[in-house]
Order: sequence, then structure tokens, then C-alpha cells
Amino acid sequence: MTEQKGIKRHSIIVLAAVVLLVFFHFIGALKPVENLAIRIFSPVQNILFSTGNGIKGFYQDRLQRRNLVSENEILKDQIQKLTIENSQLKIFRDENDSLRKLMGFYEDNKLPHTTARIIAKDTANPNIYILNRGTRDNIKNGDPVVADEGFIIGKIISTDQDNSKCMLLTDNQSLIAATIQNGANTVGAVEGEYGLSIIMKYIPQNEEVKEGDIVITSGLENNIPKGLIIGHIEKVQTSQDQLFKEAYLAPLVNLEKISLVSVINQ
Amino acid sequence: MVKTAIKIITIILLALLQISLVSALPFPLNNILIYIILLVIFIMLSNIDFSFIFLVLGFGIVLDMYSPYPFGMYTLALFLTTLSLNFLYQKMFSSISVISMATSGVLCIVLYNFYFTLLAYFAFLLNITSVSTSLDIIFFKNLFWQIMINLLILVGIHIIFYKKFQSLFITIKKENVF
Repeated sequence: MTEQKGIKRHSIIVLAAVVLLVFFHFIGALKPVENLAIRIFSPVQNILFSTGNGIKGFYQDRLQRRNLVSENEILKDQIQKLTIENSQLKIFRDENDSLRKLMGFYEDNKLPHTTARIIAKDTANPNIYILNRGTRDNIKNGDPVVADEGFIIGKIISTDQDNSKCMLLTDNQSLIAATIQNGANTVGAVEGEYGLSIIMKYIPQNEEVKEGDIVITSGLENNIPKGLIIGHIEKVQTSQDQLFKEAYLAPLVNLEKISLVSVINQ
Repeated sequence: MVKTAIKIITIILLALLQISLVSALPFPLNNILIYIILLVIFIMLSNIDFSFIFLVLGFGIVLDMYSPYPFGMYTLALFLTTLSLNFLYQKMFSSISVISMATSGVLCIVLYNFYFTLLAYFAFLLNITSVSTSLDIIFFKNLFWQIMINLLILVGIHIIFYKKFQSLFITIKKENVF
């Protein structure tokens, strides 16, 4: 009987505490405490996340032959540089100088941005990365997150003062407007699939699309400029009885290895 | 006072370990759930005194601070898991054997995922959040590896600390474990 009372008493206290905390959080009273705590924890998290990445890196290196890995990295770097150059030349050719405000982006490839570090992944959804920058650095929901000078990896889905959450393009709930650089600038929508791949949908059947074509952001969404590279087409799936065809994309960035990103905050 | 402060700092450090270190580890090690392991151990050792439930509160708050889900979801899910597991443990087990620890571990993980998914689903339905969970093959694959990895750790802890557990189980009466 005493046991039951003890359990009941403690449970009621904790439940009351949870309800109060949730209430204070939603009215904003808890924000200063949370922000202070996050600021204090951030350096510790940097160290812990780097340690975890280090362990993962060590583990992965041991499984691969070092020569093949480094040669592969050199070739990938070259492919990335050539892809960026190629994509930029195509954009220059297609745009009209006097009518576009965003020519500055194409001329010197500079956009207002904030560099951020990945300090954690969400426990329930590993496709959500937690960054160490937030509204204090002018980051807001919907801002694109890029890596390696122009490869978009995701979008900001929620922000606090000193941190924000980025949902990767490979997540099932990710959706972004995109254009294929195939001469016809075919427009479609890019969705994630189970955290593993990216697929572009709603490509009209009559559009010419082939493997190797580069897919970029179309600029149709509010916060996302045109020209950020999403990936290249790996495989095209057509079916005569469907209105649209689909294309599987390969990202040009290893999402498992990045720790430093930029958030474009126009 | 100092003892309480040390306990609070320990909870926070363990929560940060879970969020930042464990999540960065390679698969399947990133499925380790520190708070579940601690919960199972404390329920088995503290089946008379329930004050360890404050551990749940501390862990949950830190997890909620870094979560894209509505604030309080992790804490509520952990709280419900603790109550359910404690109730089941009281009714089903009377010893601290490896079987009871393993069964409690599996039950704890399944219950936690059930409560969390349910809460996330309702929050999405009520438009409180735009982030939802889905019961797809990835979910069940993660659940499988969560059970395997954490079960391995619990059984390992039980084997290593068996004698200590026995003496704690016998001697603890009204004393606070946490």
C-alpha cells in the first residue's frame, strides 16, 4: 500500500512538472533558460559529435583499402569542381542580364550565408541534423542548407535562438522544386526516399532526360535561390501508362561525412 | 546539495552523450539508447522506491530541447514507458535474473517506440508539428537493431555486475537509489 502511494506521489509530481514545463515552453517563458543551456552545452556537443565522427571515420577507414579511398576522393573532388563549373556556364548562357536581380549570384557566386557546424542528429529521425546556429544569426525556417560551395543538402525546418534543425533531402518528408539542366530546363519536384535516396518526380513524358544530367534548384520556392546543385541523374524510370516519368538522383556530397555547412539566409 | 548537483550534471552529460556522441557513431552502434538501459536497471533495482523517475524528467527535458518534435514529447514518452514497465515488472518478475532483465529491456524499447510514435502521430494529426513518423521498413529495421544492441549491453552489464545487483536487490528497502 505504501509502495503504491509512493509510486502515485512521484508519478503525479513528475507529470505535473512535465505539464508545467510544456506550458512554460509554449508561452516562451522557458526560452531564455533553454537558450542559455544550449549555448553552454554547445562546446561539449562539438567535442562529442567530433569524437563520434572520428570513431565512425576510423571504423570506416579500416574497412576500405586506403589507396582506393584516397584515389576515389581525389576523383570525386575533381568531379565536383567540374560539375560546378559546368553548371555555372549553363546558367550564364540561359539568363537575361538586364531582367534578373540574382545575376550577382551567378557572376560572383556570393549569397548572404551563415556557416554552421553540425553538432548532433535527432535521436528519433537521423535525417534531421542539428546545427549550432539559429535565429540570432538570421536563420529562419525554409532556408536552404548547402555544403561544399553550392550542393544543397537540406532545408531548415525549425529554429531556436542558438540552434536550428535541418531536414536532409533524403528524408521522406523533404520536397523541393527542381530543374534539370537538359537544355529544355525541365521542371519537377525532388523528394527523399527513406533517408537513402532522392527521386525527382512529375517529369513530363515528352521531356528528354538522360543519365548524367545535373539537377539544380529551380528558384520557385521563397527562400531557395536558383542554381544550387541537388545531384545528377543516375537512372530514369519511364512507364507508358503513367503521365510522368521519374528519375533517381545521386547526391554529389557524402551526407555521412559532412560536419560544416552553410545556411543561405537571404 | 552537492550530491543532487552531481546527479543533475550526470543526467545532462548522459543526455548530451546520447544526442551528440551516440548519434554520430556508425551503424548499428547509433541505436544505443542510454536512457532505456538506465531505466531498466533502475526499475529492477528500485522496485520499492520510485524516486528514480526524476531521472526520466531530466533526460527527457534535455532531449526535448534538441528535438524538432513538440516540446515535452520525449519526456512524456519516457514517463509513460517508465510507468508501464514498472507496472509490468511488479506483476511479472520477482527476481533480478538475466531473463527478467532481457525481457524488461525488450518491453521497454517496444513500449518507448510505441508511445513516442503514437504521440508524434497525434501531434502531426493535430497540426502541432509538420514532422511525422511513419511505420515503414526503416522504422522496423531501427527497432530491431535497437532491441539487439541494447539487449546485448543489458545482458553484458548483468553478467559483469551480477553479484553487485544481487546484494543491492536484497539490501535496498526504503533507501533512495537515485
